[in-house]
Amino acid sequence: MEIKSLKDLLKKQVLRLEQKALYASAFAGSKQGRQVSVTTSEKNVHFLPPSKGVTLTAFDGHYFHEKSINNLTEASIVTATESLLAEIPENSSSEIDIEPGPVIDEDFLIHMDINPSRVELSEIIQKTGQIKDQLMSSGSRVSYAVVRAGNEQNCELFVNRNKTLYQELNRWDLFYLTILKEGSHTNRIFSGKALQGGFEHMQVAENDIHKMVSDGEKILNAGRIKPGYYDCIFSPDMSGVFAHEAFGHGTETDMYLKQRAKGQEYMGKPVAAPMVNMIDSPAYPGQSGSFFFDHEGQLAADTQIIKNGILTSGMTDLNSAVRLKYDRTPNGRRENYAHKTYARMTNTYFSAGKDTLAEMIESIESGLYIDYMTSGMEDPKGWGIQLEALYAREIKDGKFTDNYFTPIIVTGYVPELLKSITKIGSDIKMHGTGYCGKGWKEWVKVSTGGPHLKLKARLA
Amino acid sequence: MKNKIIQVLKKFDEISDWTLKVNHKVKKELYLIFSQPESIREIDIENYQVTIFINQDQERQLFTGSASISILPDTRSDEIENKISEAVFAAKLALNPRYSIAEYTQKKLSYEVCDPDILHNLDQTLENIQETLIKAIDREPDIKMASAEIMLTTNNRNFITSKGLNESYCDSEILFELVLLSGVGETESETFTLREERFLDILNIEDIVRQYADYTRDNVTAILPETGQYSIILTEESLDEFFYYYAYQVSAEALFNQSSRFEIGKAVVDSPRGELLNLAYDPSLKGGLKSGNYDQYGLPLERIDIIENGVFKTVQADNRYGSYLNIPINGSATNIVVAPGEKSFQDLLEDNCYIFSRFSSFDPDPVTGAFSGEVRNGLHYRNQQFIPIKGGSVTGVIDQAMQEVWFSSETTQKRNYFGPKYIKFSNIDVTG
Repeated sequence: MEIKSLKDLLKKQVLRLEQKALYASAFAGSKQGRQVSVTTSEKNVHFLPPSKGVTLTAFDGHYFHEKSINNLTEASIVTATESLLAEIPENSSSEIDIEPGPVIDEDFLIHMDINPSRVELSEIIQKTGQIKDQLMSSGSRVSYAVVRAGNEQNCELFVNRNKTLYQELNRWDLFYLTILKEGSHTNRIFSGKALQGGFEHMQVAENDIHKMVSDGEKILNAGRIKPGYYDCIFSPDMSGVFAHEAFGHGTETDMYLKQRAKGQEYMGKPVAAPMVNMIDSPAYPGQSGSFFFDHEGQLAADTQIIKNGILTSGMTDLNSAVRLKYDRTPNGRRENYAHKTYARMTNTYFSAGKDTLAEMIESIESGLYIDYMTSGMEDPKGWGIQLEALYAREIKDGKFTDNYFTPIIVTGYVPELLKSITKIGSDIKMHGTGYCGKGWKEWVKVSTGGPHLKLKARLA
Repeated sequence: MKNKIIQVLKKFDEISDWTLKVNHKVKKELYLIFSQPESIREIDIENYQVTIFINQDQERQLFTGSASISILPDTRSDEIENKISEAVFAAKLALNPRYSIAEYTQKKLSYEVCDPDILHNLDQTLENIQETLIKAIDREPDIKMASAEIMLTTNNRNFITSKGLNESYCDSEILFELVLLSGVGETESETFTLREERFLDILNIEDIVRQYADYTRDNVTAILPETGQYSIILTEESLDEFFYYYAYQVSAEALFNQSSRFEIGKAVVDSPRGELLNLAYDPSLKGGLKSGNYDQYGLPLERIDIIENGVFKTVQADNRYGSYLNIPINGSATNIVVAPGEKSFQDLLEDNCYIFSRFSSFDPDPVTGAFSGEVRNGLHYRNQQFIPIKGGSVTGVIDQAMQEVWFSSETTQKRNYFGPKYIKFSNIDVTG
């Protein structure tokens, strides 16, 4: 049973549920794809587990009831509806009013120049192997390489009493990692991309591979820096995860309901340098966190989180929007149909400024350039932050030196970090190979990005 | 459905071996904001995961290719055949050195992984947990529960291989997330925990609430640590992923990929000055998240002593990588068991040391062993007082840290770890 063919059936279930529930909706999602991995010594083909199922949702005036199934016969779906209906009390009423939104019935599709299903698997394996060979031959200290490439297709259907929305989101992922060795020193470095579209994204510039391996060799024998406060330049990769962790998680409004986000008290107040602007947008073209509507039927649009240094907006899911009486934003997302919806980021980035990287480097007497982000962690309540990176290069008297350090951990108080931004680059780059978790679970695809940033941070 | 799949598999002569994992998952979830329900969810999902193995001889060299697919309950026979055909095609293209799945050996159930209350009374058990939780919170002064998520799952599994294995069993999973708040205004603080266990008595909600209530209160008055090199004691969450570095380094996969730093028969640490590490894998740990009879290739699992008295004794090798390296095969990694030490926590304490229980994230790099973490909860022990600390960071490298290590005599069990509750290291960088 294809997801798209469930439109009429699910509409009937929604209307049936609303015979007792104050609001009902249905979400159907399917995921499929194929991934090839080639390492120094192995090849593997992996078909993504085809997660396909339906979640029925009913609001009884107090809280949401949901039922998820993956047997998509009409009989099973109807049985699930009746079972959910039995849970809803008679004569439900509430002060909370959920608007179903305007009447709309539309299908959306992400175009692919080259549909991966029409590309021979042998060609995909061969091209993946070529990238692996390039990595292995890019440096004498490369001991191991792995390249993973593949497509993922998500088909999603949202139905409530007014809306019937369907989207096919196609994405190509390419990830490559090398391990370098010299004597007793071992290190790893990695990069990649995840973009909407198809096989047309299966390419890596040779310069990019050489640069990555060269950077890996530079940090192979590197030590750690002396802990302290430093003038830093964040690469676009680092800026992106900074945006995501600093005021991304801190403005997910389901955290406001739980009094877990200090950001709630600072709406309309300055939280960053006046030149700072930060946006979350699933409408950003072609990125891994992009879509046409969220999992609660809200159409994609930009959300300006920080405007000229002022905290302006949060990101909502349906539950927090209606309870807090906020305007809805397109940020209600599930890991897949079997998971609950939370307020989640999509593509989160700092807007571009006017400074150049050369100007930033020149302006630093003693500091570091930080790149190759590995992870980040938020603390929306305490406004703490932790970012980890693989690579730091020393800057002295306005010039790069040949001193490198690894790994790097950035910690600090978010408003302090944001207010310390003194230069914002004119170059935005997005990075989408990662996933975002909510409390170590509920993984959704996101991208992060921004320009180079100059700021002051505590490093170790 | 499973018989349908097996019938289709048998039609393909090229398939040398196959495994089929069937799972019927029933799950109930309760989401609370403060003490009120936000959402109640039920999930009922069935899936079938097939892995096929194809042996080929090419130019007198032996190869094996494999591919895995998942099949959903409403898939028709012709669709199953198409999917398996696709997998066969893919497996033939992804050829690797020869390996095979395990010959069938009967093994009696030797572990417990299913909480009977969850299995037989899912709804009632969820209500009981909610009640226990609320009462436990009420007993804690100055503490509010911001949110809780309670998810109870029963899995009905069937594992079948072409070599004759056909094992059916149930297991339970509890996922428990809790956020507590304390303090007011600028000093208001929270603590977050996510726990995964199989048994309610191992999870022990009352203990968790007590412990995290203390963490939350501590954070209201906590200060930054001082910068310098200190003796530190890691405990609780900070140990959750500490030994994953070893899990990677001792694996045949890491050896095959030349990314392991260890050598068989040699010490895992240079010039150790403290206690020596004893680490084993144990598949029979009651409630262990990685307890089981067989691994993914159908090999019966037994306890393996990996590191003994600080020496790398045995490579953990599954069928695939063990075959590649031509070394004894002992199965996939299971529950990590680390031998406790002689000293109690009191014995380990020294003036001016730090005890760290929670970090923002603390997962050592599996290749380099480098670790770092922003401190979320800790204590500075000075002049026989415990001073709450938070913020700042701890950094180091496992190989260096383990040169001077002491393990407590007290033990703990969490997820797939059983071992010392406290581990002490010397001369670790703390940044405040």
